[in-house]
Amino acid sequence: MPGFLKKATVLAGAAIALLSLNGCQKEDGKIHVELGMWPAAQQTSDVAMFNIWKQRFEADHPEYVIEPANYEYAQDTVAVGAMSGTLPTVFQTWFTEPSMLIEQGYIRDVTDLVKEVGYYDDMDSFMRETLEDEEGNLYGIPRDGYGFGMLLNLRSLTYYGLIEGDIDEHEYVLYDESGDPLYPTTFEELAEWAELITTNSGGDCRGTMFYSANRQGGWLFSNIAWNFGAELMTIDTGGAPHASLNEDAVVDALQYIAGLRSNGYLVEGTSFVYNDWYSNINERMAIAFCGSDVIQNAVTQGSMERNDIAFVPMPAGPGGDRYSLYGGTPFVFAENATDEEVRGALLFLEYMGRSPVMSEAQKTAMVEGKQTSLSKNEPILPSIRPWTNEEYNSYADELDEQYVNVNQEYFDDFFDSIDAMRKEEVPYEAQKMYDYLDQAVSAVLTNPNMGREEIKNQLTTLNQQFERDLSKYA
Amino acid sequence: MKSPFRAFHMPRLRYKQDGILVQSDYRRTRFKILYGVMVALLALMLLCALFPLFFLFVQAFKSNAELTSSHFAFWPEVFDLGKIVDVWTKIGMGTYLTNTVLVIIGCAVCAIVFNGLLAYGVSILRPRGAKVIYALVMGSYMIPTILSIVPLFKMISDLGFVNTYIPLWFSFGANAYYFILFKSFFDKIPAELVEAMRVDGAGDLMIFFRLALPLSSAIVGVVAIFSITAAWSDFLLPNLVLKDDSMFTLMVKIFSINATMGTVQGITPDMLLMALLISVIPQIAILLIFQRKITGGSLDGGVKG
Amino acid sequence: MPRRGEAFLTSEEKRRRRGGILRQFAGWGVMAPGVILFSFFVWVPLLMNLYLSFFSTKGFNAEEFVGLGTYQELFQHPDFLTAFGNTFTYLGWSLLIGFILPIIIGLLLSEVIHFRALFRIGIYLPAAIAGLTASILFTYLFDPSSAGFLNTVLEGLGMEPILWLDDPNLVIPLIVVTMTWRGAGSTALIYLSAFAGIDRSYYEAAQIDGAGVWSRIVHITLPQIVPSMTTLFVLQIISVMQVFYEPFVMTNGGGGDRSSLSLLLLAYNFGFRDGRVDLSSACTVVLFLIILSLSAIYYLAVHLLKKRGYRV
Repeated sequence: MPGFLKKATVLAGAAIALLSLNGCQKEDGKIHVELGMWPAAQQTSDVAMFNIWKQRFEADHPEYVIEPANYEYAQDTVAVGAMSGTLPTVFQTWFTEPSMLIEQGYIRDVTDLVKEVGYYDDMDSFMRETLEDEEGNLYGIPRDGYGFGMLLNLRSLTYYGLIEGDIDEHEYVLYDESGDPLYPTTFEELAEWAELITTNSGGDCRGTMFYSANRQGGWLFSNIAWNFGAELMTIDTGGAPHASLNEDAVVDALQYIAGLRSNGYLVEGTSFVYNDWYSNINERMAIAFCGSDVIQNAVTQGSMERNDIAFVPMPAGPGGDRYSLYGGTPFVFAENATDEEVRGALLFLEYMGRSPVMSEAQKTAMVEGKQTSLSKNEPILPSIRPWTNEEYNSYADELDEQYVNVNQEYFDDFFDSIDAMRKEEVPYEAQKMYDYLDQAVSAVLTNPNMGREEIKNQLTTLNQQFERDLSKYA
Repeated sequence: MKSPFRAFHMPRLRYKQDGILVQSDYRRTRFKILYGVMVALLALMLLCALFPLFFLFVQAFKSNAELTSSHFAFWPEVFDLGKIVDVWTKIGMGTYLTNTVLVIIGCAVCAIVFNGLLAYGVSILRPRGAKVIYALVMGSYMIPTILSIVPLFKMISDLGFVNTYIPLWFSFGANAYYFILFKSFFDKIPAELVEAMRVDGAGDLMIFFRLALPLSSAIVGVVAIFSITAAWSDFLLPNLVLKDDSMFTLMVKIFSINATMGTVQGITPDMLLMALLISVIPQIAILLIFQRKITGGSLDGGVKG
Repeated sequence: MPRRGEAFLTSEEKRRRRGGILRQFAGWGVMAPGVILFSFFVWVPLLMNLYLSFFSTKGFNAEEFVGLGTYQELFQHPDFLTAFGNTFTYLGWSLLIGFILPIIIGLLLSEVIHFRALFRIGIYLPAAIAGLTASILFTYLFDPSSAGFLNTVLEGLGMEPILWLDDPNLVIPLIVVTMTWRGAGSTALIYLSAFAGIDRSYYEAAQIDGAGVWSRIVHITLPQIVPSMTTLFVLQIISVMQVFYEPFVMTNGGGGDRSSLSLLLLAYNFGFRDGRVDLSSACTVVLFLIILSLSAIYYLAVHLLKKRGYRV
């Protein structure tokens, strides 16, 4: 045993020495750009594609070295990464995060550099605003936009007799003769559908689900509340924000959810996170609320057939309000990244086909992106574009024409109406508000027989807490 | 303790000498019935212990479509053993398994050497002030590392140990439970043996490696196995410390797949279940190989914190 | 704990055994690595927690001394009371489910002489499974939908489906079940050894007296294992106060909103999710004080009882 121990100690020592050597390899005088959005090792075809992009980029810009650093964003690891200064130069985060990241000082202002590389003016101004702080400094680049909508499982809807269609041929009738939608366009119609599906399927398939955990419940619910006529946050004349979570419209929206739940029209459970829709949309429910940027997960994670998917706008509330919570999935830059590194990362976006600059590299990468998805048999869908310049959009249109492999007709309504419906998340403490709304949704899902008064009282308590959080902006 | 495998033959109740009920009791029918009840109860416990693993085994072979179905069927439509290989290669579990082995070996070595040395100092060398250390260590028996994980991580990052295995290894060198196990063993070493070696000119470290550890080989084995099991399971500190996917241990990878529901990695829920099953197999293997040490070790030691 | 024979040494001999100044250095030299590691991984972080809890923080750095301000904010935080209460609910369920079961299993293991190896290894097996694996696995088992395994079983028995982890009243007991599933086997083996250590002659005497099974258990077996029981009791209290992994993975504190949020999970969320290191530190310190006082009560009780001649 002692002999073995000594050897082991020596081995451990050698390993430590090796690992510490690892840290000092950057003596090549080049600028190292760590790429957090490098795909996970499991995504082999994406990794291959990124390696090609890396080679091209390094050939054109020999002063840079691209370092793969697959970073899967999470709220706890971003904190430790920022603290230890080990966040990659550039990484992708969730749409709900920028305000928190800015406030904590985890990511840096890139306004000047974005202007310098010429991306600034072509950026969708609406998306740009979601990535800015109060002074108008820009902290990120939108990868693409997302808006909330409803994903319909057309197969289930046909199977249970809500729409006409041919399941084997994947052909469904979503519009009547005059071109008006047959799918639910109001929350009232949605409730009727949820009831029909549940009844017709004997409970095997429910209407939908509402999330209520990890702040994702409040995130979706804020959209629903808006459509019911709520404001959630008001800004007074002095520019100070005020909580208004206990409006009647919010109570209405919660009662709507409670009604569906108590009748059993929702998937069983009270504590769903956003990701839960993937595993339920295949058979257990017919309609999912989700962002337009994750539709493909119904196929890749949820085993749905891509031609059975439709994506339609959020339903209107009783007062006719109809919004879609809208934002951008951003690339953001570590607080300790230098100007040179950020410039390199920005330039690399062109080689990924994610910039507005329509160079050969950009065009080739855009095509390669589509082809890789195609090779993985993923659905290729239309998307909300982050750039507004004509050149970019006409080329993207061209590619969509060529590569989109779903029935475009089932998506048109959403993409046609999104510009009119889009609404940005509340400007202050959105994460906190989602946390409070999570609690409100969770309460009615757990106890759907809560009376109006009781719901109102709970909201008033939450509102007071939220108001206290907002008081620092007064 | 005798090897439990020897007990696989059918012992006869009328020879039972130990315990609450003995041979003379079993002459009476009602005690025979009681014994039957006890065996049945134990069988029930065994079922409870093993069923979840059996459940995992069966579910892991389901396809994703089966998992998302609105009707539950216990058995998968096909038992395709090829799925094990598919998932193994798709996730690239080899890398993570290698990393895990690297981590657990270092953890076990640190657990034995550093806790052993400290216990050796406190128990045998006992310099002035050792009692204070003893009290402090005993006090921290109640405090696991994760209680102070925020400042701990701050210190690890200040030292530049982020994305290395060093903090993971050394964290096992500060474990009050292993320390207590060692100390209780070293306390039994007769002082005369130590003196005799010292008279022969042996230094303190020599005595530790040549006398204390060999005499305590049983507890060294136990600490090795406990630390291997614990290091295998650990994911919180590794999840915070390890940055590059190529450095991840199996548990960190499984945690990150579970946290994103596989969307980032292109891993479906059914593949995650299979990955879980694969990750369980080495753990069960370790248990079966070392079952005597483990069952025997728990007998001597306290309880895991 | 003095070594055997220590009491019979003269002070001169004791001094010689301890050796001179050189030996003192050597002793500390041997202990140094361990002491450094304990300082680094346990003691210093704990002190830093204490320190940070009196400051306002930006990121992970202390900014401004605020006295007890952070504690004030913590106690007013709506989640703190919930987590505080939940932690004690965990404790209650854990003592109810997790404390008694291993004693029973240990007793059965020691009495049943058939299939010994099978029972022992089989019941210990879950202890070899990683907590993460067990947590994910049990999340699948406790699927709240009507297409989940357990609900399908219930339906087959003609019963109403249950929400399992989504039921705010069930989530803590079910998490405790998961913890017990992993922990009961190894604890049972400790009891098994305690049972094996009971002198056979006690039972023989009882048998001659004609004592029944129940009376043998109550009057001999249990009193004999009281020391093991009290130790394991307090260790269980301490470890369940720090429940973290299971709710972190299985429900992330949810399960009908915050019904499974524990103090340590709250501290983790404060620190790593909300960037509130000050609140996180204060929360940890509060938890530490609770654990400290529970341990103190335990040692005091043991001390008092020992003084009165009880065997504890």
